[in-house]
Amino acid sequence: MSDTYTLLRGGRVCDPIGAADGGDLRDLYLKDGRIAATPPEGVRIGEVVDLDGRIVMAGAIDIHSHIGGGKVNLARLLLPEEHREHGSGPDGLRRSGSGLFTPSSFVTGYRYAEMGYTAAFEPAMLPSNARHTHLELSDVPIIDKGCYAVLGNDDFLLERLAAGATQSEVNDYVAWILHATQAVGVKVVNPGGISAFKFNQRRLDLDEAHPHYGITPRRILTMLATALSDLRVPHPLHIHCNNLGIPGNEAVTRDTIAALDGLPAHLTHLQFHSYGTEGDRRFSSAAAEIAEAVNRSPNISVDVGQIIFGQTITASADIMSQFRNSGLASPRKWVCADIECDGGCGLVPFRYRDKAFVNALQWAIGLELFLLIEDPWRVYLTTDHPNGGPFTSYPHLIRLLMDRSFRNEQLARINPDVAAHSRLGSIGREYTLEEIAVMTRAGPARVLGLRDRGHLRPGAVADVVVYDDLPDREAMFAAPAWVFKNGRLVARNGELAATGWGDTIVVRPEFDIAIERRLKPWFEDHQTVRLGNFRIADGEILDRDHGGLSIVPTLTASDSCF
Amino acid sequence: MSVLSFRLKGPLPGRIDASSLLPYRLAALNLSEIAALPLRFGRSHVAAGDLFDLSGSPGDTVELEGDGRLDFVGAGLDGGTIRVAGPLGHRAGTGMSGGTLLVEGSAGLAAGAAMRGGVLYIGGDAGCELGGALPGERTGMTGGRILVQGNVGDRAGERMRRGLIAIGGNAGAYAALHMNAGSLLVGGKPGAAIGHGMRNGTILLRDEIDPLPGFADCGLNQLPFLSLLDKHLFGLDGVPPACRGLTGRARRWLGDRGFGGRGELLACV
Repeated sequence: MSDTYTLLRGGRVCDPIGAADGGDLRDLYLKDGRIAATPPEGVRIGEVVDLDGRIVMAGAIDIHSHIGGGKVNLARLLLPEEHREHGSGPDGLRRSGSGLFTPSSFVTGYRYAEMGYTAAFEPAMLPSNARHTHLELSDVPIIDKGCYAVLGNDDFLLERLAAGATQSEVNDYVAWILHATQAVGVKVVNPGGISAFKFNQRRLDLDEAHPHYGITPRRILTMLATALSDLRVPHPLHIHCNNLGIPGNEAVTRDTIAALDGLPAHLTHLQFHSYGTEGDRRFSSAAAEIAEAVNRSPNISVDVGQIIFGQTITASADIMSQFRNSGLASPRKWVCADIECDGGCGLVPFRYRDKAFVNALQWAIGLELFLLIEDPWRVYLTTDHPNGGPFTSYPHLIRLLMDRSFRNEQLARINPDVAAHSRLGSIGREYTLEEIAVMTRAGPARVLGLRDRGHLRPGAVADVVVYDDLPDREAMFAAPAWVFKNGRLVARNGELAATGWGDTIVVRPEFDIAIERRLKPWFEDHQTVRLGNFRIADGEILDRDHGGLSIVPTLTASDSCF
Repeated sequence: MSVLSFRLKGPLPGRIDASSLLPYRLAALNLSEIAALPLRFGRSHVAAGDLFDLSGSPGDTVELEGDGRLDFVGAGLDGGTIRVAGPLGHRAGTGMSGGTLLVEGSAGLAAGAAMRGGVLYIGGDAGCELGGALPGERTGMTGGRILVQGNVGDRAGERMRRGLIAIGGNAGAYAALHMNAGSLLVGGKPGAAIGHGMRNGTILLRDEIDPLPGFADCGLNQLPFLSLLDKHLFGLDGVPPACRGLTGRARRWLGDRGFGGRGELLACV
């Protein structure tokens, strides 16, 4: 703790929550890792950084990025050539690391920080993989991180639902999982479908009964969404809808929104769930219909999962879709695995080609969603790293959103049939800087319940990013002039300047511990570890001295739930 | 023919990555530039001139005084000749695609791993994973020739797909593990579990063995191709004598039947 202030002088602060739109020059004071109110005259200012009118934003937050855990590690193992070709040695500041689209843990933290990102959330932590995930994420330097526990295909929940469990029992189970796995939210992946795959089902619609348990995805979805709402967990259910990647899946996506019936929810990588069946190739964009459904449903937030052309690997718990796509693997190798009857895991390397109609249309669908969903508070910037492309392509994506002529140039380069099948070329919208600040900072912070992140009001964590206001938005967002994490300079002109450790963000709703009476025998009969060993103690995260725990407060009656 | 010689000045300070000492790469440089060439040494680098006395002129041949702590010699070699007097460390000739690497002494781990072409000759013994796969890769050696006079360690020719490995001495356990194609000759005694998981390819031995249960005995055969192979080997330099003199008479096993079983184990008497 120091008693001196750091002064960031004369920046154009773009802070949608703090209601500053980047117009006027303002000074920002940092103290003890937080944004401070303007101090009284005569107080000692330690360091003064002259911003000369540069753009100032809060640290960016990636709401959905597969950066750690079992399947990411399998992805790394599957592509040894990626790591051989993209290695970096230690340089006194950084530790060594490797990888481009499945970067090793240290490289992940450095690259995020250099890009002005100060938090990222691992969206698919299987409860049985939670310990591994936290150990790995504790080696991701600088940024804050959190995990969503994956539920909805675990046999305990399905069996209890089939046996007619009450909502309050489900609530207790969900809360217990959040505590036991140190998670900040719950994700449901292809509700019921991953489990159905193991009973030889190859697709599952919203009202189709699970072949063994006889319950429908609709029931799983609504029970879990209600549970999070009842528990007052800030981040609503994070939903990866059924039938990912199948032409015509827009129907199940719209049905999902309707089934939620006003319950708050977050639909993730929506691009992969917005496909129609029109046209000669029976594959078309349904972005307009989906965007309209989202626009009409203020309870829904989404992230896009934009694809970026080039080599990447798709990593998903959705074993049903990954098995279906395994024939498209490029290079030709893939992995699908069951993980402890808890969920699934599929890894299919993929090269998105701009001349291929399907890939090019996927690209256009993602952009259409960004541009047709009107409220930037409810649509967030992701590529579903690494599924649509690596997170390092965000600056490119921002330029596509902010620069219509650049976007149309790219559109002219890809498969020519796409321009005819997509309305992208006719959309004039260009994101403003303030809207970018909403979709990459304030919006994700709000939907995650991070009250002291994503904005620059006094009291906020001093995660501050300063950009040169360049006409080329890609160059601007790729290499911010200054990045401060917890008030410390960590990157300068896109180059790492210092390293450190961020917090693990968790949520701890109240629940009835009596649920353990039911869980204990389940663990003893069916799991590889006992209940007591399954729970991750705080010390397991804290004792490594790689950052602390930050507990997101649950919502209170006075909070607007969205 | 111009020869560039590297003579060790003294004992090496530690394990050195000598992968940059490739003839055609050095041919573009003069002696002082070569002396300044940084060689990776742990976390840092050391200049080639600090370790070696240089003589001769850069061309298509490099002569090197060997050391067991000199790694990656000839890694990525695509032409020319490297002659090594003495032993080498690990990964000699890894990923080489052409040219010749002649080692008078022994080589360490993973010599000739992921080799695609060229000739690797080892006068002494070789360590484990001779002609094997790079870590995590599904394919090992895909071409070229590896000739070893002495014994080799475990997993020689792992995931091999094409090419020839001839071993004069004994092989360790799991030779030709998960072999896909290609030929592995063992002049001495093979170790345990030879050919485990092989799907295709040929292993030649000089004595009858008791193979894994995945191999089916096909009895004694007169195989004309063996005399053709012997003739081919006769025309090559450096084939270990123990791998020569194939008469055509051989006991044949097919396997590994748990993995498709189209590979063959031949005991050539």
